[in-house]
Amino acid sequence: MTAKDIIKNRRKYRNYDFKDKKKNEDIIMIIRRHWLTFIFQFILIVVGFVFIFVMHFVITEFMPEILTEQGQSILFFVETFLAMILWLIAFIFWIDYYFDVWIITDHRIVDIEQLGLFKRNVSELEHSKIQDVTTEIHGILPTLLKYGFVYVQTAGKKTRFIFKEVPRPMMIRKMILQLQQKMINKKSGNQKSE
Amino acid sequence: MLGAITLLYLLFVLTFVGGIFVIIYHLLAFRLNKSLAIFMVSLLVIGAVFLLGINILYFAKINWQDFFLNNNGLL
Repeated sequence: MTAKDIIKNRRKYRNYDFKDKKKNEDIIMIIRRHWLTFIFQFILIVVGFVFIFVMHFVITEFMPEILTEQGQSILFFVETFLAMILWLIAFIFWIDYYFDVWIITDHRIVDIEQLGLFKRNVSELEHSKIQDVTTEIHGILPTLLKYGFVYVQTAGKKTRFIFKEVPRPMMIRKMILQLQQKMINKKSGNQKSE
Repeated sequence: MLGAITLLYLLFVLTFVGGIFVIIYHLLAFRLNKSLAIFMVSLLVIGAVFLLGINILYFAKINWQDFFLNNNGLL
C-alpha cells in the first residue's frame, strides 16, 4: 500500500479514538514500534513459563520422593506464584508496547510515549509546522525487516519528533510530506479566497 | 511465624491485585480501540483470577508449621 492509498483509506481507523481527538479530525495511521521489538520482550516471558514447566517435569520425574501431599502443595504454590509474577510482567510489557504510539491524523501528528506504568508523555505537531523529515535504517535486522527511525524536524517547542523502530519508515516519511503539502495548499487556498 | 507468613502473603496478594487494577485502568482510560481493550482486560482478569485462585488454594493447603519446624515437611 502506498502513502497515497493510506491517506485515502481512512475507514480502517474508524473504530479508533484517542483523548483530545477533534470532531472533524480523521485518523490516517496509527504507528507502533515494529513487532520484533516486542517479540524480544515476549520471549523472556515464554522462557519464564517454559522454566516453570521444566521445573515441574524435573521434580515429578526425578524427585518423586518429595512429592508427598505437602510437597505437591508447595510445588504448585511456587509454580503459580511465579506464573502470577510473569502474567503481570507480560501485561506491563504489552502496555509499554501498545501505548508507545504515533497517531497521524489529517491535521497533526500525536506522539504518545508510555514510560513504565506511571509516566506518559504526549506531544503533538501540526503538519504545517513540519520543516524536514528524515529516515534512518541502521543494522542487519532493520534492513531485512524494513524498520527504523523517522525524525521529524519542527519549528515548534519540541524541535524533533522521533518515531522509534517503526515499520516502513520510508513510506511514513512520504506520507507525512504529502500531508504537509496538502495542509500548506489548503492554507494558501484559504488565504487567497480571503 | 504463621501470622508473619500470612501477612507477607497478604501483602503479595494485595500488590498483585493492585497491579491488575493499574493495568486495567491503563487499558480502559487510554484505549485506542474499544474491542481490543475489552479483550485484553478479559484476558488479564481471567488469567489473574485463575492463577490467584489456585495460588490461594495451595497456600491454604500447605502445613506451614511442618514447613518451618519439620524439614519443610517433605521428608
